[in-house]
Amino acid sequence: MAPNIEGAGLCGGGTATQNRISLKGSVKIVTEFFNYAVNSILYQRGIYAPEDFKRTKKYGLSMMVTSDEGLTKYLSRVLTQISGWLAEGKLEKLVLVIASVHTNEVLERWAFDIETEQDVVEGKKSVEKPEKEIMSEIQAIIRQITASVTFLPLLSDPCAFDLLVYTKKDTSAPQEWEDSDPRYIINSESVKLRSFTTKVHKVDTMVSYKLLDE
Amino acid sequence: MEVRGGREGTPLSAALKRRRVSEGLMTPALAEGEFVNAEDQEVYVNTYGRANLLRREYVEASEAKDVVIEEQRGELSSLRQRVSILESEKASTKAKLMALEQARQTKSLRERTESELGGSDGAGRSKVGDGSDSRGSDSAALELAREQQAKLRLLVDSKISRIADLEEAVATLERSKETEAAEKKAAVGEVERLKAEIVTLVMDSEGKRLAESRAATLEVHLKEVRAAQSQTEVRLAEALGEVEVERKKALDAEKAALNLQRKLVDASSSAEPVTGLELQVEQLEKELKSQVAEISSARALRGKLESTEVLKEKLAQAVARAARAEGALASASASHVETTVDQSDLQSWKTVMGEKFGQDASPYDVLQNVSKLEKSVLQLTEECGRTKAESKQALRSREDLERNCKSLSEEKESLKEHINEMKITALRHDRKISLLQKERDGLKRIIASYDEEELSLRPADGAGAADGTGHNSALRVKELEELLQLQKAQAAKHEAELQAMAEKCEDLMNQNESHRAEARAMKDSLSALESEKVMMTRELAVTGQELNHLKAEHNSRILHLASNPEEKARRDHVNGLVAEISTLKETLQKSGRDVAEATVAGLQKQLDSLSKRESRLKSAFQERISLFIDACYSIFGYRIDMTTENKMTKFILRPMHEEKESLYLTFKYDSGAAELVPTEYSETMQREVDTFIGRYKTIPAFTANLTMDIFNKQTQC
Repeated sequence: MAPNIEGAGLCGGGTATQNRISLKGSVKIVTEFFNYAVNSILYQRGIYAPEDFKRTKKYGLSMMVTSDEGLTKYLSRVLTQISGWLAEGKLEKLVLVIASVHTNEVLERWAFDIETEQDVVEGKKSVEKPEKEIMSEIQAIIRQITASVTFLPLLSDPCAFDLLVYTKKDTSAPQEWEDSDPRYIINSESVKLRSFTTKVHKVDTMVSYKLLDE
Repeated sequence: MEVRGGREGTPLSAALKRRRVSEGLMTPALAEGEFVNAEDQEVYVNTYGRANLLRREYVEASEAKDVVIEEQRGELSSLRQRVSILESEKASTKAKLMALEQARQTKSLRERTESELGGSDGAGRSKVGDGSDSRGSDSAALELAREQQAKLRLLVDSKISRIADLEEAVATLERSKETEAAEKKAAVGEVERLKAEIVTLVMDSEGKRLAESRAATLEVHLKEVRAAQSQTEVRLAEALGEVEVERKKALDAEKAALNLQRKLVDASSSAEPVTGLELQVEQLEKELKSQVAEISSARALRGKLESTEVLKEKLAQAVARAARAEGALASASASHVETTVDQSDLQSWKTVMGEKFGQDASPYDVLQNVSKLEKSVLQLTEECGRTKAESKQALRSREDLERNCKSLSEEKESLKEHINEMKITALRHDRKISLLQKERDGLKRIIASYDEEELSLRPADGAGAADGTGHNSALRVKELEELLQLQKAQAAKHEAELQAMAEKCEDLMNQNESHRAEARAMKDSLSALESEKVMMTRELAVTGQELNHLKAEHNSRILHLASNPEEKARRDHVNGLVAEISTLKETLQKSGRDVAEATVAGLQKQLDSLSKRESRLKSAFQERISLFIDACYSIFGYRIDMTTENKMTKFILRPMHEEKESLYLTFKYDSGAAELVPTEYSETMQREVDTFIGRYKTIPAFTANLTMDIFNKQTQC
């Protein structure tokens, strides 16, 4: 899922036109980021065993991506639908919820807020941003996710994860998608991480974790 | 309409009128006070003037067209009359032809009869005679045919002229129709343009309602005019159709007449025998029949055409109704789709609300919960505000206390300095006193030395000089003593001042201590308030977060895949637990059964052994007790039986030597003491009972005495 900005969003010739980002290109970049971010979180937080991940190069970093077939299929289904909603400008937020398998209590909540430039979605204007700048912003966020293990509490119980998608009220969803509650954490602490923007979509990252009982 | 300009009295054409209105030379008369300003009035006047003009032109044109149509109808009716006349003439010619045919038939019958009756000669003569007779009849027929031919020619000519007239009328009708359609289009275009102008005016001016109502009336009138026009068009079409049919009929009649003429010409020019004429007559008859049939079919067609026109109208109406129904159906389906969407939204909201507030929660409960949350948030904010105010007050009081502490400490410092100064001054005074005392002592020594010197010098001079010097030294001593007293008084005064300062300093120190204690108490209360404030801010932040979450959820829809890893993990966990439970149950059942059997067997064994032991013990006890009872009986002479009644142990003693079984003594034994229970037998020896048991409190002596008495009785007897 390499971001093919040249193929998706660029017009050929000239430095100014190489930085032009189309809606399709931005959707691809954001979807790719979600894929790698989710994989990174699952690896760092130990939701799945390390031997279920394989190393790959991305954003100038060595990233861990799952090799489990079932998980890969699930992620591809979710991300395909997300890319569709992003292109329509209906996606508002993506939330990764980590909960205990035994008690069903939510222990961590990774929220990716999305702001969409509606004028670009409607085709009224075009935007420009250098590719390197976007990649460096994404790289910073991935580094922060990796570094978050230093302050996040240890997940001792066996945990599982779920992906929640916030869309606009009038969004139609396929049958396999169902409504869910927001799965907030009671007595939590929140840490805001960095954000990145393609000028079409702006993504803010935040992690909330359950405070340990003293 | 008021006409300005132009020659007075001369009627203006519609086009001229229109031009005059557009140039602003003509305005319609209006009621007073209809408009607010002259501009609107002028605009209204111009547009409605034009509209009225056009309407009137249209009405006039339609009336003119109606007149033309009436004229043409009259012509049509006259043509119909002529057609009916022609038909009657045709009928008459037909009748004549019938008569001719009858005559021919009679002739043929005569010939046949004559031929049958006569010979060949007679036949030839009869033939010649017949021929002459036939020639004569033929000439008459020919004359008749010629007359008919002339009449037919006249008829054909007239028909041709009528057809030409009809064609002219049709052409004029078509032209008038075209002009009417063009005028109608122009009128419609102008009306629509006026309508648009009217609409724009209506939007700009305050006379919107009046303009709309007038436009509506105009539209209604236009619709009526259009309906009338459509009716006239229909009538025109009908008339045209009828004209077409009549023309066709006329053409057919012309053709038939021409054929008849040709036939008659042929019949008159040629010397054909009667059979040829008869054939022609037959042909004519056939043609007449065919024409009649055509006329009937034309009438039927005309009727069908009328019915088809009616059917067309009905079809158009039905199509319009169908279109309207389709539109209504489309709107209904759209509304149905909307309702299904709304229902699905409602269901999703219900599930979300059910998960959040409980399945049985009604919208009222949800609203109540939300209002409760809002109230709690308001209360928390109020409390937070109060605690903030309290904390501010506490901070202010703390600042005041700190200021007081500072001032007190400053006072304390100043007092300390003052005390130090006083101490220093006291020391100085003490030093001064000591110095003065030393000085005094020194001066006293000096005076003493002076006195000694004086005394040592005095014996040489005499006693008078010694009194003078002694008086001076005494005076000096007094002065010095007074000085000393003054110094002492000053020192005492300084000491008293020092004492007072020290007391004041102590009081200030005590005040300082009390202020410090107050400051400490305020600090403690401040810290408690601050901790409460921190708690309240945390709670406020949490409720604010919850409110933000609720707001975000209200505007968004939260979705997830039904088959997700969490659900799968939970399912696997549950399945694992279920499997574990089933295996545990099986093991428990197996082990339980075994354990139970083993325990039962063990217990059964124990039970058997214990029961055996009990029985052995019982038998052993029985043997021993019976042995003991027998031994007691043989040794002490009494058979002792033990019973228990109402938790009371009783011993029944039956003497050995007594013969009757009913003679027995009963003792009850309780807590180490035995007591005789009165019986019949004991009553017989009441004296011994009173003596041994009552007086001497000894049962063994009583029983021994009784044994001896019984023995003595036995031996005596």
